[in-house]
Amino acid sequence: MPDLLATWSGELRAQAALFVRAVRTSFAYKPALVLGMLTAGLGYVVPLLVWRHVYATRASPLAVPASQLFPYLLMAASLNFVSNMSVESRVGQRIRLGLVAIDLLRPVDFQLTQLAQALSDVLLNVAMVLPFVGLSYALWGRAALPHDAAACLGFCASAFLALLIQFAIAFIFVQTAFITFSSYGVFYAKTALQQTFSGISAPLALFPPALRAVAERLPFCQTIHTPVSIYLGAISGHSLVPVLLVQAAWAVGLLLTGRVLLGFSLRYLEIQGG
Amino acid sequence: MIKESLRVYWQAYAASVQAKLEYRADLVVGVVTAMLSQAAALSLLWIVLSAVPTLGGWTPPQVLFLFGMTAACLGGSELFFNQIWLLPQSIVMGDLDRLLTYPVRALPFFLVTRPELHALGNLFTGALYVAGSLWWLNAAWYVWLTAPLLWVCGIVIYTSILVWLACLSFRFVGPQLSSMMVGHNLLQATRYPLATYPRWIRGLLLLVFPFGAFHYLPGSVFFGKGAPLVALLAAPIAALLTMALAQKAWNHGLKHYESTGS
Amino acid sequence: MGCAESSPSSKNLPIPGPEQKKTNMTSPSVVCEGLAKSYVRKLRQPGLVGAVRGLFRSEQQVVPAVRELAFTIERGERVGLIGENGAGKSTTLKMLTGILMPTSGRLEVLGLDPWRQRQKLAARIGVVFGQRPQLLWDIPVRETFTLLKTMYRVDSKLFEATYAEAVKRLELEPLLGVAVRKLSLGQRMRCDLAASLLHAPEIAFLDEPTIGLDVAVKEQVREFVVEMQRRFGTTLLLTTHDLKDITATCDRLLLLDRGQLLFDGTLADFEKRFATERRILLDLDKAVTDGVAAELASALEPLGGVLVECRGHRVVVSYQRDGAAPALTQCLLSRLPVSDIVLEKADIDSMVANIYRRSTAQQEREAS
Repeated sequence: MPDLLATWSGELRAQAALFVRAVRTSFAYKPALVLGMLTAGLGYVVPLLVWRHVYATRASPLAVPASQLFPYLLMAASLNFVSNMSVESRVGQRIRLGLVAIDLLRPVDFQLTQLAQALSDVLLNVAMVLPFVGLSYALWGRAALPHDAAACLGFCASAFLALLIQFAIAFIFVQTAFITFSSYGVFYAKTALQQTFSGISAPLALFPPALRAVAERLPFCQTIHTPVSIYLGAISGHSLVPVLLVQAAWAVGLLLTGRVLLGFSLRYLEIQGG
Repeated sequence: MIKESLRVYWQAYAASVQAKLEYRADLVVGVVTAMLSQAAALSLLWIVLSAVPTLGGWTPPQVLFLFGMTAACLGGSELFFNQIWLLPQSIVMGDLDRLLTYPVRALPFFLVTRPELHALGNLFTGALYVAGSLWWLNAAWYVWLTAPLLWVCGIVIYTSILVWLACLSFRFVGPQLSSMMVGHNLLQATRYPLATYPRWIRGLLLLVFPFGAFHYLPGSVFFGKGAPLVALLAAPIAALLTMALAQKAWNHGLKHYESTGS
Repeated sequence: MGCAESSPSSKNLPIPGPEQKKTNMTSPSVVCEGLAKSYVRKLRQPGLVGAVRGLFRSEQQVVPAVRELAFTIERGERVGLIGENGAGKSTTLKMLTGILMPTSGRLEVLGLDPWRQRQKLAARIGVVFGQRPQLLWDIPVRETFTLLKTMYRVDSKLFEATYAEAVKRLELEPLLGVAVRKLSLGQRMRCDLAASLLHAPEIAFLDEPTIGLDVAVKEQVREFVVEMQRRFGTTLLLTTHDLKDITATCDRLLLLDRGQLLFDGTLADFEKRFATERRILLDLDKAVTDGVAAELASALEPLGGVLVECRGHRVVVSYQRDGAAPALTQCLLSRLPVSDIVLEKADIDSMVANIYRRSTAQQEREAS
């Protein structure tokens, strides 16, 4: 654990420097900056607009009232943005370039090092997303804030577990980089599943029953739907504990699966003589 | 003369495809994930349409037509003209030098030299959606015949708009990949009926970035949304206009091309 | 000088001569007057604050790369373009080939305006970029050549001949099936050279064709260029930092400095004007004693010699060209136990270095 902390603090400093430089570069290229913000926004705006239209034209009330849906969608989008850890590109690249062999010689655990890097990415993302949370408060007022103190604490715990699960899933998917050179494929397959089952485009309560049944049995909904539901007070009180336990179980299980798979991949690599 | 020069583009394209085919595992993974992405895109539609019967007055099979056309057009552009995504990088790195010393029209030649075969996944899924939608709707024979033509128009419109966005890099050197994502995301937005959106966005997607011209407007004609038959002409007109503007943007951009200096 | 090196084997091949090509031989290859190119650079203030300020207001700076260039190249001339980094060699070449649009001035290549009639011109010229030899595709070399044949509409007979010749001379046979991406720099350079000259262009523009290559490949490249030039009467314009390229392939020299032409003339003229220094190197039987040096220096001075070195078994004397050599040698032979004697003239490298030093000094003087 101490070496993890050391890695982490060093990593954090390096990342902070990179962050400042990235911001500076983006300011230097203003048209690119404007377009970039427009783009990032666009992806999230489309579902919002579609739902806006649906709520304006619906005949009967839906399972989730509009006053809850929009804060939900914005929080979901924010959380999804925050958990963007570029595990695929970072680990994938190290594997393809054969650098993973060097990483494995280091006295620190490969998976934990990668996790530390991923979490430092997250901290920077949080800094970038805070203005949007402010915006959502301006738009929806009280409904955009945590339901109560318990919800706030619960959300923090749940969001952390959600990040672990996101990382673990990405770590599992990236193992395919040992076999194919296409990181594109891996990334898009994961994104597709995440888009469908995490609840980023709608709370699970609005899902058709069949889709909902599948989504609840997969880990993806633990990454967005569960933490956001806690944040908005949809899950609270005594039901909070079992929900968090389920999340923790998913996190541990997936992280361990990733470790086992890495072992297999490395053996495969040895046989290939790569 | 024209036949001769078309042969050059075809030969270049064929050779590039051949090179791509060497990576078989990548091809399979790419095609499968592309199809998966397209299937995932349907999930929101499914969720939405389980809440309300129609979207902006469009029934589920009618919206499926829009989804299919969008996917097929995306796939077509990636299959033939994917190199456009590398234009900003090529401009910044000064990689156009060699291209500009060849006796061919530089823009089309550039576009065809890096096909992306995972596009077959998008193309196939898109065709499936469109066919399913038209079959479900018992569409008239002329709709079946017009769809491929609209598809071609869509590819031209989408690729041309990507060219505009990429050509910004000639003037504003910098990380520009995100500018092209604007085009991609706007296209993706037209999977839903434009009637769903506020009026100014509708105008944007019909007049400025005329993606609506190749599936939303024709769909409005086919599915009796009150659009007159002439609205079908919007697709070829938009295709020609966007293409002409793309060539203009390219020509203008080359004036400002700086290679790598020294 | 380059012609003498061509190998005899090529004479047996049925290569069509320059008379078979339908070209307008009357106009010069290149004419330019007042040709200039400047780049616009955005000024960026340092630091995060500067970057934010730049969001609202940015200043531009015009950087001239080439200014007021004027020269003419006739058909079949072999011209070397030299200059330090940033002197404007590549920029000039890229304007001549239609890649860059000139900022101002008149430019005609084969009677065409390169930038506006780029495509037309491209069919008649060949270009090689040594900095980044790239055949654009991820496809095998052989396919690239076939594609180029279609693209340049090369006549099959001509293609067969030039292709066979290139494959043989540049030893391309083992590379033909390999994807361009997998080739080494030297291999890629050889392929690019062959590819650029397959259509027997009227002008060949070679931008640092030997950069980064080992000595053997450099030699191969030069021989190929010389042979091709001789056979087709191609006009040759090459830029380089390696002056051996020039002596091996060119007979006219353009010297660029900070975007301006410093010298334009034949290699012989160049030497006549700049290679005025000569040296006499002596090896001695016995080491010289300390007193000798001063005495020797004063004896050489009236004869026009300068004692550069006088230590141990070695003596070096420099003098200006024009007849001082016999008297100097006599004087040295009579005073020293000479075992060996060598006369040498300064090489072109040191001449060029000298010219730059002079030009820089002059500019500094003008500035102050």
